[in-house]
Amino acid sequence: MIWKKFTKLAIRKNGNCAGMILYLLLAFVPVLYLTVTGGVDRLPVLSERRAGLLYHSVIIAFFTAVCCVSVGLFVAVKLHSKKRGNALGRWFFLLTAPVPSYIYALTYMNLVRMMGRFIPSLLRYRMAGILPCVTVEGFAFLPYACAAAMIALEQVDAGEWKAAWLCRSSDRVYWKIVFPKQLPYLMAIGAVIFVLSITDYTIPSLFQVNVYAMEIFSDYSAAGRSAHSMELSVPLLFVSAAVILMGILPLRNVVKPMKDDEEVIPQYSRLMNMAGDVAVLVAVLQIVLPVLSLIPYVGNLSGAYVFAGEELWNSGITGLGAVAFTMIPSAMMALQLAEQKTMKPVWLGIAIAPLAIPGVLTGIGVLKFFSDTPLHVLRSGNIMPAIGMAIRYLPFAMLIQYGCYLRMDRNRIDAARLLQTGRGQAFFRVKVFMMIPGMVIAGLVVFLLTLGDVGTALMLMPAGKEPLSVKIYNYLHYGASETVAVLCFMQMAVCLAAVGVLYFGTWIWQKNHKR
Amino acid sequence: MFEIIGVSKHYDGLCAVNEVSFQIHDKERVSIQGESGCGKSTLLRMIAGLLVQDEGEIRRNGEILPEDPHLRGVSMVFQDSLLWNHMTVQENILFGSGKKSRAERTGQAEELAETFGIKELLKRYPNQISGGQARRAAIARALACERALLLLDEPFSNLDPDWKERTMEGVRLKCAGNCAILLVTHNRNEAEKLCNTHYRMEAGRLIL
Repeated sequence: MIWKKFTKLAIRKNGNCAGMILYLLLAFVPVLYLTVTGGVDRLPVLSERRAGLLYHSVIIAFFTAVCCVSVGLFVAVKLHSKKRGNALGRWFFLLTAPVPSYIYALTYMNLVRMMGRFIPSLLRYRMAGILPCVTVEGFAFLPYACAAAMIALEQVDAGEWKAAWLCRSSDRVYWKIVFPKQLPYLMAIGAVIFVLSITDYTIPSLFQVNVYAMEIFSDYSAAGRSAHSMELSVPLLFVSAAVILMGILPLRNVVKPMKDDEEVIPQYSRLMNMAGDVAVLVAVLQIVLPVLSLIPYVGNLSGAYVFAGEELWNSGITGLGAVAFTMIPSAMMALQLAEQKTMKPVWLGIAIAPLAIPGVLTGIGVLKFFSDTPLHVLRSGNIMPAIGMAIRYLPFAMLIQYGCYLRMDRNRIDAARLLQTGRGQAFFRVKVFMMIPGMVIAGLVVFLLTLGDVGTALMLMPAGKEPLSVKIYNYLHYGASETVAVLCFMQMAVCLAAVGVLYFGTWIWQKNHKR
Repeated sequence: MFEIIGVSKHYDGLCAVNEVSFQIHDKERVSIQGESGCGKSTLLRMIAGLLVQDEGEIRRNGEILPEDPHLRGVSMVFQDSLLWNHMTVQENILFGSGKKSRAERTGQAEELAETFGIKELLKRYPNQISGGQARRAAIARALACERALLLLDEPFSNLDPDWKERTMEGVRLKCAGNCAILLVTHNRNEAEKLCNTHYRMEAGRLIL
């Protein structure tokens, strides 16, 4: 009966309300539960030490975002000025998008160690501090920045380029006409990278930098006071939420429907081309360096599987579970937002606000919720980590799908609504098929993020159910770099295999639909 | 009979359709001619229920039409073909054909496809056919719904002259005695060949 009412509500005209409510409940459960049960009644006073930690966090996140966006911008400019070849060549930088950041940390350590043989002072100064954190996180998030910059460039009409070229040089057209159109995308991806960086403590901890997210984790680990952890998170939440809202809200209306456009090949000045070449080189290094650093350990891969097979299994199951729990609420929320006509900025703001919640706080909230309710029976399996990861990455899945759904051709849906013979036919036979690409991309991203996550996993993993990411993180601390390298290679292989499966599936589907 | 009574639509203070009133009797063929941007397509979308009018009423046999587009007894050929790319041409055509047996549905699709010269394309996907063929498939799809009123929004605009004539003839044949037509176009010849009642639209207002 309830299910019948729920599905009726879900497919009602302009009413993905049920999915929306489910999304908001899931996304805010950790914070709401901690607030309600802990009785948070005062804001924490930032001591000098904690203000310093917040300062470290903001500095790392800011420079990581700025570096990624700057390099991404010029990579896109360079690749966009080349003749369109096959998609794989143009989007090569995405190859290592699924590679978790600690793999770059290991690469960085190996490289510095190698160079330290020739310049010993490097070892003293470059194995700790903010610079390695920014370098490693910058490399890890660079593919996302490049992708956003490329997507933004491809949104600009060929006609606009051509009309402007009649009056001005390619450089001038880019900075005056195209860049302003690209800016909302760059701001949005910059905000996402900023938040991913500021809420992460794993990379800074590997390079002996204390950050605010680490303070929340260590405070909870030491005292187990969840309400206090919640209070402690407020400054971080405040900074992240402000950046997210400022960065993503301008994106709400800029996406245009998908269509084939003419190819444009700008002829930039030597200076712009040089900047593009340097940026592309960085993007290539981002792929080549981790591979080169890990290749010497390939031979031990089968041994590593025996050594870490169970952890790999836990990671895979948790990842698949997270995808399953994320899909329906995020799709419904994204669909509702894409179709929302009134108060869109307010709803979008509410929907993306959970992006600002640090993974460690999500972990603490979910753990407490499961411990205090009858759900505690599920604490020993992989369901709790899967739900925790789903909650952590729900806003990411929603945001990706929202972008995709804005690009759906509304007229095709209108045609189906008019010509259908019964309610629901337009949704299930037309709209769902148009939603599939967004759902698949979002699902893959959630799976990969879950596979690489350490912050939330550390809080939620039951005894004996350690995921591979946590095992790698622990070994990185011990400095066992050979074991770590093999495990990292295994992790990277699984991530790339997941992308490969998706690519193969897409190829098969396209082959069946295009003779 | 469909009655459009004092229908208006505003966009950001601009009046796209201004108090339009007219009637379409059963099996009547009505055309509305006018320049681009005069509000023709907006009017069609309101009759189809894809847009909600700010003022006025749309009635069928005295009763206000329901909100759900598919319950209004109307089908439509859009300015773009708008075929669904994941379905074959045959599946597109049969999307809105009512509850019939499989054999009847296949027969209907083949008959319509024959009329519009796309019989050999039934198993193909929309991205495997030309723009003109897609347009004819879209017309067949709208006719397969067998609704009381067929709305045509510049339906012949990208057909070559030969196929334009044949398609118009096909529409006239399939609608004869079955459904009414409301054609909007800026082409006077098309309107005169297909319809017997003519209106003109200028700046959102309807002129007889």
